[in-house]
Amino acid sequence: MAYRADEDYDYLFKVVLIGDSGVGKSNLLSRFTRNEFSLESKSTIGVEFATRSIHVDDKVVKAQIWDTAGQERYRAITSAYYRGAVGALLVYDVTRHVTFENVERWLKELRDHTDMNIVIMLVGNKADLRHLRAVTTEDAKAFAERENTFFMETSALEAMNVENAFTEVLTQIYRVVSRKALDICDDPAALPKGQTINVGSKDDVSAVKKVGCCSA
Amino acid sequence: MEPTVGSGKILTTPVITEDGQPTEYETDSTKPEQTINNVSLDKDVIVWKLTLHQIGLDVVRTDRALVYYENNENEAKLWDILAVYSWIDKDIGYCQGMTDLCSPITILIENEADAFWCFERLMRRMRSNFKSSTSTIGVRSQLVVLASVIKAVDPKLHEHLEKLDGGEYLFAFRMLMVLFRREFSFVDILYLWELMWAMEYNPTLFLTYESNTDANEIKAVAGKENLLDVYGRFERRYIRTGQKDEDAPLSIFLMAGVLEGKNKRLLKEAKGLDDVVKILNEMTGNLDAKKACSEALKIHKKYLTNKMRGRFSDGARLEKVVAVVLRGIVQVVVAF
Repeated sequence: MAYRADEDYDYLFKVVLIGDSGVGKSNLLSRFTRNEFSLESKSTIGVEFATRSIHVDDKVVKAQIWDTAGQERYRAITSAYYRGAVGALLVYDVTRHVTFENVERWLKELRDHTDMNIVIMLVGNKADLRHLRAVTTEDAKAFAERENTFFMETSALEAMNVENAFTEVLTQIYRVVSRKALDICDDPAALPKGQTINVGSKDDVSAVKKVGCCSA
Repeated sequence: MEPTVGSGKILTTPVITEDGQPTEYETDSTKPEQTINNVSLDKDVIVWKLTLHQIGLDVVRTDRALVYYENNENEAKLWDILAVYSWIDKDIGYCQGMTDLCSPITILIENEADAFWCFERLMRRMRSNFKSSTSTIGVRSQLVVLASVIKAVDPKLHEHLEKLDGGEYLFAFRMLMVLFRREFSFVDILYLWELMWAMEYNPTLFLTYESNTDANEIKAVAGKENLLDVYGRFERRYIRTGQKDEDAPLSIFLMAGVLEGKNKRLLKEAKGLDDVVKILNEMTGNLDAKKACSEALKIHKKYLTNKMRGRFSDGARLEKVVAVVLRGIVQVVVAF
């Protein structure tokens, strides 16, 4: 296979991590992008970003993942945060019921600020803490079905389902995007070079299709 | 009002719901004093109680590597200070990041009350950063100033960064919000802060902190020429160049210095915001406080000089306009 430099990708998707304070958003991010977990992780101030590329079908999909502080106060930078997002992981902590109760509010905010085509996955993190569980899988699954979102339980500590959760979201976005491309014209090869396909809000290069990126 | 404050314990779960009812976690407990909660609570009290567990969640994530916090009482001291602060400063309350600023003070000053007042004074300096509305948060106005500083001293870099994040400079959010706390080790941050605050020293500073100080009194102190030597190096330049109206703190120029230091790599390697963050993250543990401050002073000087030059050229333009208008008037008068 031809050599690919880091910046070679076919699609770039912006994904946001949201949910209450202390549910493990930053650790999910570091587990997925660097395979790291820290028991002494600090609260997030402002926003952080990290990327990782994965393969979907024969395409390279690069995820730019945004992580933010959970405190309601930081919603003030919401517009910048959600702008152009095509996927979201809405995280709660399976050991703290209140973080699950707040999922509804997060979902509303997400839907208020993003495109209707956004791919959302409800993520119950800290699933390794079995003896402390306060939210049942059934309850969360029922909620996800009702709200039409994907659902998975994860453990950033044990690296359980983290890969799956992100990969699933990215794959689903990819499906939405390629379906859109097909809707635009029957022959995908006829797409103009470097065309931007927006599945998120109108003004961002959130889902960029790069044609012929390996020619370099 | 909340028995946990001052008890040597902290709260990490909500004690109250948004409509002012005690939560199930609380009613489950056997604490007898909770029965008084049935009385309807004042709105301020509800807002305050709602922040208490948030403070707790952050306290248990602050400076965990330090032995100091292995002692629960020390943990509770940090929580107490922030809990009381959020009550007396209702405009700000509690905002994530404040534990980072408060922790060194809590550790350095043994007496809890003294530590509280020290933190309260620090917040007078910092509080505008934490002030938020539904649409924005205070620190963003400092990010705007940072953008204008970079635009003035390195237009090419500014253009590049603008392309990457629309000129929001969100990647510098944390550094300005908690004064580089996350970029330096605990010991180094004490050194950096002392250096910064000495450079920003202004003899009227303490007067401005007192809300009941008469503005004339401040002017009287500021007007004394012989005081110039007393100002910190950073502050003195504002006074000397007559740009006292500027309210950009040293931290903005420190950040500008860091960006300037990474200028080549940012221009060449940063193709996305994540690259900017990655390059900037490399400064963690690798910055020399003294060097960073002297870089910041250099940029400050350059920025102020550029600005003054800009003002002069504006002045020159104005003179030309005036001359043209005058000539026009003269011609009209002559024609008559």
